[in-house]
Amino acid sequence: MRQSFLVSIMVLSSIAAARADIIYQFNVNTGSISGTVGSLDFNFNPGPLVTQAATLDILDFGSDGTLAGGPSITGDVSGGPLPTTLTFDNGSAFNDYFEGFTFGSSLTFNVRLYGPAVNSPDGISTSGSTFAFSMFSDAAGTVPALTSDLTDGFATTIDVNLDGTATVTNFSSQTSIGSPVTAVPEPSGFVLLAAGGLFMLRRVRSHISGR
Amino acid sequence: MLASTCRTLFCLAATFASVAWSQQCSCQPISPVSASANQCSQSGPSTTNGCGPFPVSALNAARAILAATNPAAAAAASCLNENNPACGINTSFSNYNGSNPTTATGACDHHDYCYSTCWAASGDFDFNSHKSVCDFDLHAELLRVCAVAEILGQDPQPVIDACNFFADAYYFGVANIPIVSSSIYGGDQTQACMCCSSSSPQPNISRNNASFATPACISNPPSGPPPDNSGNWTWDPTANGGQGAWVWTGPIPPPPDNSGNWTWDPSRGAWVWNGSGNPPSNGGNPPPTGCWHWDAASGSWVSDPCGGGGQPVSPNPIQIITSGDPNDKVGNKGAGSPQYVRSGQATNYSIYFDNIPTATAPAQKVMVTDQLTSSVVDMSTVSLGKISFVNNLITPPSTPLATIGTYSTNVDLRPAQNLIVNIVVALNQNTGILTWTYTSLDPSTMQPTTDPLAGFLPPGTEGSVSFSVTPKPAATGTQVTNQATVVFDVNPPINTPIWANTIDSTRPVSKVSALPTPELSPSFSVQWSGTDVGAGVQDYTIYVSDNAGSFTAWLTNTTATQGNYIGSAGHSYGFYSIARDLVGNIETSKTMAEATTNVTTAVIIPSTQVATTASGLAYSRVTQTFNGTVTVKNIGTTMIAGPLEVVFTALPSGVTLANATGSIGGLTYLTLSSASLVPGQSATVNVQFQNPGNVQINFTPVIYSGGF
Repeated sequence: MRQSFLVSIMVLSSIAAARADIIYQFNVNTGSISGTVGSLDFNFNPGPLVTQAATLDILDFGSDGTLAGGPSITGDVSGGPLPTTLTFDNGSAFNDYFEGFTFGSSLTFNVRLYGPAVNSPDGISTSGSTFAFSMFSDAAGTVPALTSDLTDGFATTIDVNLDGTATVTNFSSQTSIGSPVTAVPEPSGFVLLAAGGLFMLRRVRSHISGR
Repeated sequence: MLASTCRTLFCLAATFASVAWSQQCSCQPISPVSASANQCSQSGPSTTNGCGPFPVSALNAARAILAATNPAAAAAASCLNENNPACGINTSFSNYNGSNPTTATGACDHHDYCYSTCWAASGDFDFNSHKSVCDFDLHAELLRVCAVAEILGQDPQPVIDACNFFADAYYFGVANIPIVSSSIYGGDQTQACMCCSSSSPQPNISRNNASFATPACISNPPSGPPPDNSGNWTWDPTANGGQGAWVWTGPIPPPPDNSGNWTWDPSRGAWVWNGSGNPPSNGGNPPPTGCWHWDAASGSWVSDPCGGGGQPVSPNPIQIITSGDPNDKVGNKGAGSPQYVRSGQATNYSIYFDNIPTATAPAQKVMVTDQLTSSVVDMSTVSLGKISFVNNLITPPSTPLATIGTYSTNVDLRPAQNLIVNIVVALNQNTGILTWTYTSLDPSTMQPTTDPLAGFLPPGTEGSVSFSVTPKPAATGTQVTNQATVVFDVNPPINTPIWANTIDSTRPVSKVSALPTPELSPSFSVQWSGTDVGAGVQDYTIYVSDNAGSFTAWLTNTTATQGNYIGSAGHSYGFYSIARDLVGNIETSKTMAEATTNVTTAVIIPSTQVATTASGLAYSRVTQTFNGTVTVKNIGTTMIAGPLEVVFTALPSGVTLANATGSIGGLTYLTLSSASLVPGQSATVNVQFQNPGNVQINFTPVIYSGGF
């Protein structure tokens, strides 16, 4: 019985280490363009090679600006409309949420990354996925705002790397992105919980046999 | 008793001479043909109604004649009784009771029976003689009645005179009135000898027909109308083996059959099907006379010119096969429906002629004439081809006819046929008329045969002539037409169909399409195309130059418009094409390459030495592109020499690399790094894709080491 306990511990320990979801907190100072009738764009797309599945949520959207209330959605985007939570899957080439927006003084939302590519990278995929957030000072989404990337118009991009990590590239000085926040137990916690369960089971059986 | 069997004029004369004739006549009877196979079992008169019926007016007319010479007799004959015109007690002609050879009673009935007894078929008597016997018998029997009445003494002399008068009158009537001879007697004999029913129409028996044979009985005309209501039908009782048939007697040719389902269209000279349903397959049988072809589109038999065209067919008509049949007038097939030929190319023509199988005589003389146009063809180039008829083939010299003048030859058909066929071919260069003349000669005189049944081209055989001539140079699109005329003996000339060719004097043009530079692989695709005014491009010859060397043919006369050229890495190549059109015009020669390329020396880095990864692709609304990065890492143990290029192969349709460094071998590529990569080192390059269809973007990266 002792041997089986040790083997169980070894098996559980050999499971690939699970990673936590990644959450970024976005806080954009839009005061400089307050009152501008513009637009917001969010897209989350796979890469051109072999890409592992990943999901992205836009959470807790808040602003004193005004959403136009008529989003244009392409690809695997569910939920919404803003400020309700949006969920993007990277299952198709172009997954996009675009909506008119009259800017107020600020804009906040959280981005949560999760799914196999984040939580359990397979090590064989060759492409990551990329999230892009853009602000425009026109309703058509052609004039970038609050960004130094005037070529592509991206305010911020987040790359989901092949190892499950994420890389943030921020072109907007008006945008602050909070450090990643973990939202689920660490993978080692699962192992300890399972080991504890097995330990308790052993104690109960030992007690019964001792009688 | 014996009188009824006396058959000679001598006996009859004796009969007339004496009322005691029965005691004096010792003539032997001539047997009728009662035992003959020709004697019908139902022989006998169709009617036995005594002497009559005669119209009263006829009897009165006879009494008037009698009154002129014997008024008392005429007065006695006042009863106007046809069987007893003398009106006496014992003068009734029905009193005669002869029994041999008939069972008839009365002289007139006996006469009827005689008419209805087949004598003529025996061969002993001709038609005319037999009737005379019957008539003489009648006369004798009538006179006998009168004689017996006189002997009995109960009738006065005027009555006896009247009796004799009417006996003569009746005889005169049956012996001399034509209707009695040609119709009544003929009909009775027909029934008796041919066993035809009394209602059958009678044959037109000649009274002089000494060999009255035994034709079959004649059928009644059908109860219905003729096959059509054209009014062109006549019932011929002798046709169809004596069974009778409707015979076409109209001025136009008869229809294909007698079904009544055909209507004559005079505007087209055609019998058109108007029956219910479809016409017979392929029209069934053509009209029985004339020359016809079946026009399936209009469902009609159309009259062809064979000396006919709706007129009676000539004894030796010819048949020129209509267009579509190769056996008519054939020239160079040429290219396409305009039958393009090259300017300056000799054109061959053959002219075929048939003596149709239904012709009734062989053709003795046939003349084929072909009118050439000097403004279109070069008369000096006319050369004769083979000449044929039936199984004979003549090969004239190939020397142009203009050089040898006239060509003439004799073909001796003996011993199979006692004819020599003289063939003369002549070209009148002034008029352009080229003529072949076949003449059937009598070997003994070497003059045209006078035997109407002799001729070199029997029915059902054909002949042909051929020649070649070169058209003069002309612009593309110029038509060259040719038509021949064939004359059989004295029949009217018949034109062959017109054979038309179109000149193509324009050279084709072509070029090799531009090639990617450099080519990634030593084996690369080369494409070319061409156009031609006129016949169209037939094929191409592709020339190649290797490293600026002289051009040599790579592909010769190929109909393909692309090919894979196998070169060598580091070599440069130039290509041009030379097209040939369908009539043989060849494109103007070239000396310069139309497409050039070189084969790269860069090499592919195997996947065991490099790992290629990519980021996700963020979509820019500004540029409307998908943007990301591609990273190449040296995972090997040796350095990879720069520069390095990423070639994007297998990109989906509609997806393009917007920021490509260039293209190679038809593929876009990005220069990754100009420097080398040591083991473990990576290099990253931005990628930007245009993807208007938002399709899944993917590609197979191929990493090259070495400059393109």
